[in-house]
Amino acid sequence: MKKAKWSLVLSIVLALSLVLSACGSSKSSDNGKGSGSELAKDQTLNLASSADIPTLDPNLATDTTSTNVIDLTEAGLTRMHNNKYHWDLAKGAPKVSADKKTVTFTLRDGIKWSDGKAITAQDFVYGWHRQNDPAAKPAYNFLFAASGIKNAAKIEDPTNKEFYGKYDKLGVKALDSKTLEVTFEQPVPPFFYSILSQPQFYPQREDFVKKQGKKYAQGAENLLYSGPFVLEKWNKGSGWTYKKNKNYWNAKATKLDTVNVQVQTDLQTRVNLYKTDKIDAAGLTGEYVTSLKKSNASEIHTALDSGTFFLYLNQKTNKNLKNLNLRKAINAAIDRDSFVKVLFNDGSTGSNYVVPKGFSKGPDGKDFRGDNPVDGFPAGDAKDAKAYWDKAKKELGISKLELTFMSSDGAQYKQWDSYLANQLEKNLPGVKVTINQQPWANYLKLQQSFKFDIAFSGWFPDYQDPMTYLDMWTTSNPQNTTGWSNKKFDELIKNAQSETGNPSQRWKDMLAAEKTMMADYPIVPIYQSGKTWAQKSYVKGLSYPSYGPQVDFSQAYITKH
Amino acid sequence: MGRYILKRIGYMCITFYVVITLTFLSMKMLPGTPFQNPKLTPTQINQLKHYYGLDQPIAVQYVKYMWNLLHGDMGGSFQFGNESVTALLMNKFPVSLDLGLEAIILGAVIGLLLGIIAGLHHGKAMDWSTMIFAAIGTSIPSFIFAGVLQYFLGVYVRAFPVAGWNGPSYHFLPVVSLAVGVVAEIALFMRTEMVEVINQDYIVTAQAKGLSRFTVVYKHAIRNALIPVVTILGPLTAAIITGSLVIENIFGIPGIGSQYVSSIVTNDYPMIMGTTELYAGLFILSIFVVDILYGVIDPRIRVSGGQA
Repeated sequence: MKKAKWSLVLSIVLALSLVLSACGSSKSSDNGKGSGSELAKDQTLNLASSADIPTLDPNLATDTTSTNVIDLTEAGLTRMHNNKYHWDLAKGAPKVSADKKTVTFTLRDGIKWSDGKAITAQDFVYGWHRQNDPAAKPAYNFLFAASGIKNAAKIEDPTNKEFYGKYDKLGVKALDSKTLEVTFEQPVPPFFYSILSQPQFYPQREDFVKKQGKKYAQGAENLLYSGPFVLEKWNKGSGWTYKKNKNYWNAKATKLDTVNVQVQTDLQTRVNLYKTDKIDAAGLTGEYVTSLKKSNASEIHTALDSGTFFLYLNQKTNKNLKNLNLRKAINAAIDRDSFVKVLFNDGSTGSNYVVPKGFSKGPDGKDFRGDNPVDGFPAGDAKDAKAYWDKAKKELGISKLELTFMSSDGAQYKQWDSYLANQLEKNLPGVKVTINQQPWANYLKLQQSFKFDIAFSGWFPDYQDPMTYLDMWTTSNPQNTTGWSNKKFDELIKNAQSETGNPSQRWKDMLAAEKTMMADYPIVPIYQSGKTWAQKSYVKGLSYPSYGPQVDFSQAYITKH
Repeated sequence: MGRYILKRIGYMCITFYVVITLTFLSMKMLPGTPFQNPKLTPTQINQLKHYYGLDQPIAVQYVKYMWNLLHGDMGGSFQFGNESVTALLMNKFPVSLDLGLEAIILGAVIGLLLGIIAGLHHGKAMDWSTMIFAAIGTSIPSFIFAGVLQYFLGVYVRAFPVAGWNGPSYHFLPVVSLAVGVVAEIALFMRTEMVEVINQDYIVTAQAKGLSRFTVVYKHAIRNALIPVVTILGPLTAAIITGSLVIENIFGIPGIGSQYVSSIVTNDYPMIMGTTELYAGLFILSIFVVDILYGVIDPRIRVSGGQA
């Protein structure tokens, strides 16, 4: 009580003195442009995050905030930078056996944990084992199975009595302290080297993890760091501070000494902090894009992201949606371009494809979207919608149709849902759409039990390969909550999964699979997410890649300003 | 008085137990699971449920929870990598408490002053202007004030930090935003009471005895007018301390407000229980304190309370 009273008195006194001093000096915010390339003396970057860090345990991390922090404070065999993988703790490209099923990495010399001890191949083995130990509650261990690492799928399968949970049977071995051998069920897949940059594949040190016990990763001091930064402070709920990791092998490439991140859940507050120079960059959406484009035009940047958002059409329990012409009518009825322009205005782009643009390159070096229709398959327009709808009505023998439209109940969904529902009702006369917004937990439950007609949500990639968007649509995949089943598609995916030794055939099969799927419209793609952010002109080298750390400042720096 | 307090404490414990039980049962009726990553397969979700004992009958879970609670173990949060709920609450609650108390003290002091002045000048300009301010204060939600103050004093004038909780200067905007409503509510209440008390016979008697105006107002009028105000002050304090979610969000204050909402949305059972217990405890305690305070202000209650 006493302390509270004191701080109140102090705050009033201070408040008054600040008001008075503010009256005396009218500070101008335009104190020179930081356009030079000379490094500033103070290499401190200030940022805001919309969420606190849920966890720093690489086993438990599944959200973007946690993953971002782990990406920048820890290191794997590779590191993503500007959407390309670079050899990080691995000395260089590994030795690959003739059958491509054994890959041997050599670690760099002199790599160290933040406490000065050497990072060894055994630390990798322990980290990978821990990711497959059910007692350590791994959330994303399916990445090991998705990469085809030997026995991973069996170890993750609770019905497999012989293998389940026996992480020591995983295809990874330390030949000596510098050599790591990974074995595969089939030839190593092309996306394996970029997936190695994910937290699930980082080394963890057994003696430290065991010593920390329950406290492991619960605070900044309960972790060892191997990446470009260490976490110096983590004040739960208010923010965290990174410091340059002097023990990182590539420390000379890290120019920032300090990065402060404050948790600010409110977008307007983040914008106000940016305007008052308290933070150096801020993500923007909607109206803030428009207003800051006017006031700070040169500081606004836009990039395409890798989230895809679409409508699930439930043809398992809704017989009408089994009709292809009805699905085509729904697809043609939605004007995606005005949807993204009016409601987002943040670089998101209307889409009519499954695999996003600018995300993955094939063996020919071309983007997946360059090989399939770049801007997606023709969606049609209101006129087509009406024609398909007329056909569907005749085939189904109906004149009217009622559909439920389900989404999560986030504030932003209100506008999105009404826009999309309105498009359907306007362009398909006789269709009545009822919007059903549910808390996320219940949304998932209803979706998995097929209690919806149309559901609206999105998908973010797990690894840098088109397969992360495609294999979920095979028959009876738990993620395929549409009831759609197509033999040709299943076969193409199965072939592609086994063709890791023949990348160009695999690529062709994935292209064909998307084509097959987009002829059938089990889903109606709506948009690919983009991001727009404001960044002070003296901040250089900050990037928002579509795969890897969400905000990558590993090589950012501050110029004189 | 001693028996009175003991009895009150007994009631408090029963109320608290009922709140915990009801919360536990209604929480279990929330649809879905705490495992809300869309990439988890049903098999994985079942494994996790088993791991945390969520596949057991609700009665078993209830007994387990109560047993652990009696031993001071509130469990681990699902949202925050299994971190102990007690630690999370201990970390965030003091911030909310600080913010809430500052707001309530500031609001109560100004509100009482305004209410007394308005009451004494009943029907005059002083009264009207105070009442107009109070009407505005009660009708405009605090987040509007917060937004306006943040923009005007934070961004435009730059007199105060826009957001954060790093020292006294950071307290001004959120405390004022929260206090405006308190000022208005208490001023309105106090004014009404003052007007009523001033027309009582004992005030006329006091004046007739030739007591100074100060003594009449201070010793007789205010003290009597204060009783109903104290009644609302208890719950109001509890509400301000626990209900500053919006203010905490706008000013980026690491308090407990947003925790409560996010724990419900994510089915973070241990965290829902923990925050509810904290809120309920606080509320019950504030009513208890008010009951005791009555006795201090009004001797009649102190005497008759023994039999009640």
